[in-house]
Amino acid sequence: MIGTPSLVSVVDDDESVRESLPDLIRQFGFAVQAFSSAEAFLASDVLNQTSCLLLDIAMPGMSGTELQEELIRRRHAIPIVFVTANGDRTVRPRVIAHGAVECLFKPFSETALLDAINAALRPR
Amino acid sequence: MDARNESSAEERARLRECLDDLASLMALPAWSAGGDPGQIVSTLTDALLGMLRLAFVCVRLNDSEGGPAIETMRIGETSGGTASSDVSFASARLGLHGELGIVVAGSWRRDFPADTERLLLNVAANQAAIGLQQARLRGEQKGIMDTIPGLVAMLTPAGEVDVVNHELVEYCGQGLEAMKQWGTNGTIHTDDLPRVGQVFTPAIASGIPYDFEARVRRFDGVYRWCQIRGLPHRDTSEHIARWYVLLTEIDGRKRAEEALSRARSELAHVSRATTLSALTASIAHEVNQPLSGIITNASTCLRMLAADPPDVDGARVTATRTIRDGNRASDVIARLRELFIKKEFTLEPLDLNEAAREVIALSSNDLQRHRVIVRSELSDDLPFVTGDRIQLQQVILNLLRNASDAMVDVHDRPRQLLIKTEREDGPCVRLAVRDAGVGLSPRTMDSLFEAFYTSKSGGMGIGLFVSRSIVEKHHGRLWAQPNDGPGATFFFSIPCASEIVTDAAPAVSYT
Repeated sequence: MIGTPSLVSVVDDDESVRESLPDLIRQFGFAVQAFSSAEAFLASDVLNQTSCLLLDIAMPGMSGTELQEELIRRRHAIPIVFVTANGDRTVRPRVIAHGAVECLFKPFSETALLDAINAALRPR
Repeated sequence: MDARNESSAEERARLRECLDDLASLMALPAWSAGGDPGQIVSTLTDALLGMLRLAFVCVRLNDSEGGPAIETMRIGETSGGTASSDVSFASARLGLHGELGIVVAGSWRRDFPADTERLLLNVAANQAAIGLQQARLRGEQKGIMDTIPGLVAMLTPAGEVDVVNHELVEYCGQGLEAMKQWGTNGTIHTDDLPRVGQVFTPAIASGIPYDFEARVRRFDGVYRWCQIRGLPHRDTSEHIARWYVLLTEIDGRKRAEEALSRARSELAHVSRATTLSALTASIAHEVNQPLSGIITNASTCLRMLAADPPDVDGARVTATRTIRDGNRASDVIARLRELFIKKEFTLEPLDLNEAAREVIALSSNDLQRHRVIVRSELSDDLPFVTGDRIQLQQVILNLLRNASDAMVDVHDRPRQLLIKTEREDGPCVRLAVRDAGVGLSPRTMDSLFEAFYTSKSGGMGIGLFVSRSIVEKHHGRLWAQPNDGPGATFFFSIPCASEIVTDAAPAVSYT
């Protein structure tokens, strides 16, 4: 990781997540931007710089999976790691089939998070 | 032995023989059992030929509907060389005015008929006429029954099948003789027979109309559900003369009912399962969110402390967040408890006996349907308690339902439920609900009062959890113990009115 660190964007409506997750990601050595909604992320200027998107699934307004579809439609091939507090394990195969790198279920360990981000940054 | 003695001995023998013949004539089964006309005629001719040693007997039977008469001729003893002109005749009418026909008897004996022979002939003709009348009546009844567009049978007072109409014969694909054996030949489905016997046998014995449902084998061997109703027909002296039975095929209705009830229970199960899974998901979401925060912040905290130099300020901030997220998780649990318990409750002095009686009355239909026998032993000198009537009744109702549910699979003993109130030292009032159900295993005892714990396929598992919360809000306690015999007993005890109402007036609300 020489030069500018990769940018990890976090999109989650939960404020405590937007507080805590960026700090940990920063500790990993990445740059971080946090957004409270899918719409805010789409409207931002980091769309093109984001190397990995940590994306909540259930959010008011546009959901995580809808943002995934929107990015595919706009041909923004940003690697996505979904993060969900919902216990429903059936969402994982569905989002991965749509191209997501990983789907983490809260609560997850820092190792699981780091592995997922590294997998997203690996050239495909 | 002189000639007079000899003749009187002969006379006595002749009379005895006549009496014997008379007795056997009366006892012939063809008359009373209601045989068909052909059978009656052949019984009549057989009896006369045998008893009177006739040359021939001839029966002319008029047709009841004005058709051609039927004549039957039977030849008896041969002449033994005598010319046919030597035959003596005697005749008897069938029916008061001969409307049924006539019987003519001929004998080679010139002194035929002797007075005893005439008597026998007349008695035999009378008996035959009664039998023929009955047969004709039955024929008419059968004719009427055949015109009824339904499945109809007639039974004897003893409950034996006597007449079946054409439609019933067609439906079952078997005749009267086979129908008489309906209890053993598979006409009624074997699985239904015990139940049918329980209704049919006492109904016949006591002469009470009956009505039951059973599967009846159709002509094609397929069993179809039928409603079978029987009504006794009484003669003028109030004795049962016969039973009329009507069968109605209800297979379509029965199957629709079964499908409906299956659909209903599936729907209920799905909706419960959906509620439960939605509830679980939302609880999981609420709890996982702060848990995740705790782990993330603690991880960050450790990394900050491990850095060179350690970022103590950052670590302090993240550690504070860990505490905050921990509190948040605990708040979620507290909110969850509140979700199940009505926040506001109204305290009033109340008679637990009365509250229990109301619940028993309200659920008596339900309990009866589940064949639960409810016994109550409500103490006479029960002090008032202070509490929320509705909520305590909810607890009692829940305990009654649980008791009833626990006995659903009990078939080998009465489903007895005892609800009992008594004064306890303390001073408290205790209510107990005792069932004779499946009982409690030690493993069950541990998790009985946990939310979402259930042993019932349909249960949400929050009933006892909520009940215990309600009782605890009344400063009481709720517990269970296995019975010495089958089943379990659930208790709750709450303090008497004076114990908790110190300064509050009756009927106050608080949260």
